[in-house]
Amino acid sequence: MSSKIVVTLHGIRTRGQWQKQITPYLARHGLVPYHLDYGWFGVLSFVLPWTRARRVQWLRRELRDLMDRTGARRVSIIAHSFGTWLAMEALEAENGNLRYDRIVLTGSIVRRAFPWQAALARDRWVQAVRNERAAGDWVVRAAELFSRVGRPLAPRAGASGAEPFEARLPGLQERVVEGGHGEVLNIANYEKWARFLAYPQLPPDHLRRVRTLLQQIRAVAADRLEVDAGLVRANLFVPNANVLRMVRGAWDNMRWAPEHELELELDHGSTGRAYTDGTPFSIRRRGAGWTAGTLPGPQQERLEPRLQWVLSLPIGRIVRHEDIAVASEVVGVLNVDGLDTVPALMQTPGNPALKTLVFALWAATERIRESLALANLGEPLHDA
Amino acid sequence: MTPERPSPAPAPAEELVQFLFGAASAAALLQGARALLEDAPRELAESFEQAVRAAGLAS
Repeated sequence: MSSKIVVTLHGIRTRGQWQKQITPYLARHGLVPYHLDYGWFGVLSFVLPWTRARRVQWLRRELRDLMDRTGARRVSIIAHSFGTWLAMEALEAENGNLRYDRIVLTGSIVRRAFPWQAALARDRWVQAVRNERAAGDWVVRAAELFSRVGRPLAPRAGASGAEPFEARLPGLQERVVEGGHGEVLNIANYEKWARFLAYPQLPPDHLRRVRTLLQQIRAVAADRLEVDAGLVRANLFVPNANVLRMVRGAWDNMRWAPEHELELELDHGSTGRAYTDGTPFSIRRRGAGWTAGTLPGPQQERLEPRLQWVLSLPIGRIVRHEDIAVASEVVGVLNVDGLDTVPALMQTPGNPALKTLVFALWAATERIRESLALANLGEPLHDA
Repeated sequence: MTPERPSPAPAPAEELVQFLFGAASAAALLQGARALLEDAPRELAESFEQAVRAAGLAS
């Protein structure tokens, strides 16, 4: 698996000292920084449409070259001020040929009506956004004013570095800091940005807690299903680029390495259905296949050949919906599965003892949900 | 006399098992789940209780 690349982009009238300062924070979370520098860009250059357009072209070339050379399908971005505008103009100009993973916008001058619904939810040009803004940022307000009164020279810009974007979406996170245009680049926030960008890779505090809970869930399941604990496993899947993938290290007793690279469709099999429906599902092996369809060839080949059964628990807030308990805001799926034989209890789906066990294990995933939700925001574990 | 129709093939059993938990059985379910987690590590039991409290199922 390749490392995530984080492209950093500075603003105007600066060469981006912060880009160098943030490097160790990114490295600590296994991220590869790639600092872009387009030189000193003055206010006059910003005002002129052709100099702005040249910078957009330059960025598109840089990003395409970077992705060609590294083989990365997406890159993450941290941008400040004019860098935010460049990043989003390049994305729109590429019209789907370029995709970002997760992005941090700071002191953003991207228009507040930016079509995030399309970019985040419909077309998946971007996986998640963290918008760091400061109410006292007069620079971004000036950019918005210029955008309104300076046409046709002015860029389509906005004060999203001071006011929230118009869209409200789960993948669009708004963060407010005290101060102005420079304060959003506060070094105290770099660790959180790195954590946010690294997701779904879990930082050590969350990973420790998740692994402990996975071990405990596996042990309870093995005990109640009356099977050797060595034959029961636990793993965690989260959505990533339209498929469900295992969270690296968030597993217990998973010794078949090819499985770590499994990619499952969002509504396929017990894992996919648990994710989309928000209720637990189970599936058993039957002959060469499974009781509810077989994985596509390359994925099937990655499965541990001894795998016999899977119980999939959706990770989300358990709520009552039409008198049924369902997980809402599902962030992933915890699979408890087993090798060699199907336990007798798993063969009697209507058995109240099995239903009780499934409910107990499902509800016990709450703190895993909490960790995934916090890690997705870049937040540390508060009660560590 | 009407010819006997061949009996249809038995419907396949439910292939993918979905677990649904209705509010009507919540009390018994909670009691059973708590008993099951009685000997479980504290952190796991607390995680369970946190979920049922948030779901409004705690009694």
